[in-house]
Amino acid sequence: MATACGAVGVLRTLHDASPESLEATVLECPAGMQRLLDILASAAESASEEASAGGGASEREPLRNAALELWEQLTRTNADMKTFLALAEGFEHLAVIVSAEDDCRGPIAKDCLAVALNVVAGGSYQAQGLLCQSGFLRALPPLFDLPMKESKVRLIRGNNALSTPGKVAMYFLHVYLTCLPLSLLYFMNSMIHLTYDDEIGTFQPKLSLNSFWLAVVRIPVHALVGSRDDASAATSGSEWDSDESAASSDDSDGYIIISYSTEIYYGRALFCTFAILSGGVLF
Amino acid sequence: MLCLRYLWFSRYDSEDSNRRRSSSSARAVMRVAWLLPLSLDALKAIELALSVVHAVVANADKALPAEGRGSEEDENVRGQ
Repeated sequence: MATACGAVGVLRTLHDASPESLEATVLECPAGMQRLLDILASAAESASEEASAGGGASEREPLRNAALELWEQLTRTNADMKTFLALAEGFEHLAVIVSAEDDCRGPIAKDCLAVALNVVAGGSYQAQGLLCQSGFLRALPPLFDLPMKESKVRLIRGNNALSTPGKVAMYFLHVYLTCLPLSLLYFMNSMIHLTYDDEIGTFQPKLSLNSFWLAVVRIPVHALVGSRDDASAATSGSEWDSDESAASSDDSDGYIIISYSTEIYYGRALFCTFAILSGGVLF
Repeated sequence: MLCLRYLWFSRYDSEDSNRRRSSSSARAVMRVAWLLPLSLDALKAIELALSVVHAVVANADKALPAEGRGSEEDENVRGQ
């Protein structure tokens, strides 16, 4: 077995060095192609026996892997090699190997498919017809059996397994989860407050834990912190909504104003509309 | 995570030599299939399988045996 593996390895190395010379030599050698194909045939036979016996690693697997890679190299360009593989029931052997694999999308299946594609992609109608007759295509459907979870399939196709209260609950859960990023934005905006600087005479943005507490208690709109009398004087204009202001002063610098801009309100309304509509589409 | 997976797939997309032989339809499918939670070997196997099927189907009128295709008269009989 080790000798056969070594021989196939030498052939692969020679093919890497000089593909045309090795292919011509193999074609000239009596039964040279048949001997290489016998490796695949014995590998397919042992694979079917293992599948019927319940699996288990075989000693011939390294030889099979090396032979598959060698055949993949040989069938890349040489038309004679492709024709020989198609006529000598090579597709049947490849189909047996693919079907016997536990992982139908593993590297062995990939090598088998690469060999089959090399033979078929040349445009030979004869090879394509032989592939259809060989049953190789019957080994392909398990490849496309994608590992999508049943719950995801139900979610996409309409969640028919849930009752109506369950659907309603899932709808509100979706709206809540979609609005979470908006809540974070809302919270971060409340961390920034404007402090009145007496020296400059204007409001300056400032970040502090003072407004962190105000954000937790969720004061809704322009909350004025400081002296209530000064605050009412400062917010007597239409710019600030003094009716909804809250007083919890502990800042000695001056006035603290939690500013919620109108853009945030518009953004939140847009986001909530998106969440509600997308929830309706999903459920 | 999606960005990392896309970068990983872009590398596979540029380095794999088998992709030169894969069909255009298989490549089109693989532009979306990288989102699936599959390994690199699995993605390659799917692409190769799609290419094999595409190569056979593209020449089905010439490659398939006559008894498998069915004649026009058979189709008429089935329709009736």
